[in-house]
Amino acid sequence: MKPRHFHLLTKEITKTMASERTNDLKKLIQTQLKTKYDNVFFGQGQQAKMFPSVVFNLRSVDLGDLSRKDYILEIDVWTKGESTYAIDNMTDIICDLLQAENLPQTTILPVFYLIDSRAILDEDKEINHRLIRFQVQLYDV
Amino acid sequence: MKITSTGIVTDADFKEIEWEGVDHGGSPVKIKLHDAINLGNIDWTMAEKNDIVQEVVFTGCYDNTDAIASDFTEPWEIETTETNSGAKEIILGAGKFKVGGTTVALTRGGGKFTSEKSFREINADGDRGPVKGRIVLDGARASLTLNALTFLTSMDTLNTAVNVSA
Repeated sequence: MKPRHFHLLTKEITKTMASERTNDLKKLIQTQLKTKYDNVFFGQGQQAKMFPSVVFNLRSVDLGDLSRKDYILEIDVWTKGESTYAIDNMTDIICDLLQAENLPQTTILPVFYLIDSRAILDEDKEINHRLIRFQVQLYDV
Repeated sequence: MKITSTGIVTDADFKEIEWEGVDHGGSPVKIKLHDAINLGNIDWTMAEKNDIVQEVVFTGCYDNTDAIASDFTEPWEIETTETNSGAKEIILGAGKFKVGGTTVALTRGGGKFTSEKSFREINADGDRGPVKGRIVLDGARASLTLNALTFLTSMDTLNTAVNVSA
């Protein structure tokens, strides 16, 4: 027979694992994007110095499903130059990389679905900017 | 290419139909129908600005050579390579449809797997409801539905009694 505190203990462990889901998801997205591009960052700011670069952010959303913790993944892509050929290619590559991908990890079970991608005008006409959004459906293990 | 109807059901119209998906744990999940035949109709809706999607309903068939059925096993099976538990065993909705092991067509609007059972309750006077031991399973029909978007070159694969010639 299991000791009385066993359930409390397992609950505590599960809770700790679950609370790291954002960081685990961040690591996973970073690794995935790094397979295609070198300059991959989370957050803001760093992209100003390097081209091409990829910056991603995560936003937690409630879609009404209590068992699932969903996120909106926003990926900003930047290139420099007059042609938009390179940035459109990058956008397609990133869309194909994650669209409908089921990537189970030790602590999280995320699936990525593309929402949209669009051009964002920059003050500097030499800078091309695209925003790609994914819905991440996520269960804890 | 010409597509015509033969008007006759042959053995070639019975095929192995498979839906191949995956669960959240990443393990493949396969739903198979044995000796399945499309018992549905060709029902195309032509509408401006809309692509034609053909709903194809394959129904699994029993293989009973005796006059009286002796094998009650239903003509479907679900196969997974790994037994996951918890959230890992939740099955994703996206997957591929295969006929005879080959992916058939692009689909739109997903699909459906049903095993429709017909139960008979043997009632007696005074019963208040179903009684344990007096419920008989009379029959079951298993079907896989897919909504095919590219079907022109596979009309003979997806439909019954249809011939495609050069």
